[in-house]
Amino acid sequence: MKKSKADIEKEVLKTMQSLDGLEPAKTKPFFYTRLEAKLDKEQSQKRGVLAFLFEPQLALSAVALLLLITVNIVSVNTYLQSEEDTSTGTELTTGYDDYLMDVPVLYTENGE
Amino acid sequence: MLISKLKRGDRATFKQFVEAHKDQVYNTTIGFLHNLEDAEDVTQEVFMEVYNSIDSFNENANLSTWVYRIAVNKSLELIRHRKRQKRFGFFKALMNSNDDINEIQDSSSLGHPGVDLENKERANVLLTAIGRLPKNQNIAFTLSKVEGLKTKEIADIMQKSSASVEALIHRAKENLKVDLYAFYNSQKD
Repeated sequence: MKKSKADIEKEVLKTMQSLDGLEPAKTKPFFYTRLEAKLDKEQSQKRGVLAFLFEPQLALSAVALLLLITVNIVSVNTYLQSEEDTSTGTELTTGYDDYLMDVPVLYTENGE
Repeated sequence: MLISKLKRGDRATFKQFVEAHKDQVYNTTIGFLHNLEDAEDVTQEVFMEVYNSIDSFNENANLSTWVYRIAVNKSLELIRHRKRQKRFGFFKALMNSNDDINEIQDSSSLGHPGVDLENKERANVLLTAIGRLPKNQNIAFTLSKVEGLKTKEIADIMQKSSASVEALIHRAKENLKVDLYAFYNSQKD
């Protein structure tokens, strides 16, 4: 059997009021101790990721590797640049040579 | 003074700040999550965020409002995460008939510890219905009804006008009445 409309409305009203006068909840004891432990753990994990920066040998190796990569990039760049310059120069010379060789002289200075 | 000490990472000041605000944050998170363990975890996350992000806090703003905002956002994040988990669990159960679906459904809906025994069942029905409200109505109603915050405080937390918050709370009440009526109407004596 279903409830009457009045009964349902009464139940709705009671339910809407069920959170009135709610007692505030309190955190469990030693909340800060647990929080501090979590914070310390998080900070030590962060330090762990960046630990190599604080180890002199690892830091030196990282710097040496970076230097090596930089020198390598610069060398390759310089080499490519010089290659480019050389090939451009050859083309110009060849063009000039072609001009000299291929263009026939059809007339003389005096118009003959 | 307090904020600059917090920005310097002063642990003693941070401890004082936590002790002063932990219950307030805990109650906010319970209001949204209805689960004591989740609420404790999120409360810890809120204070960790405060500790780690205090540098980005504008000193002219209200620290308490900022903390409330973090608490609301973190709680809603966990609710979204739980919903995704629930959907994933449902599909997992469909794929593998050996799994008992009841095992992977979340065990929230523990209600609010501040509710007296007489009202426990009704309060759980109401809290579940609040969880079904649209996001902004849910936030405004929870902060008002569960946390007992004033309209102006809720407006500051939600970064809305007081009039908008009042309208949200009004719509939330209307929606809840309709939802609860349908719920009780579908039940037999």
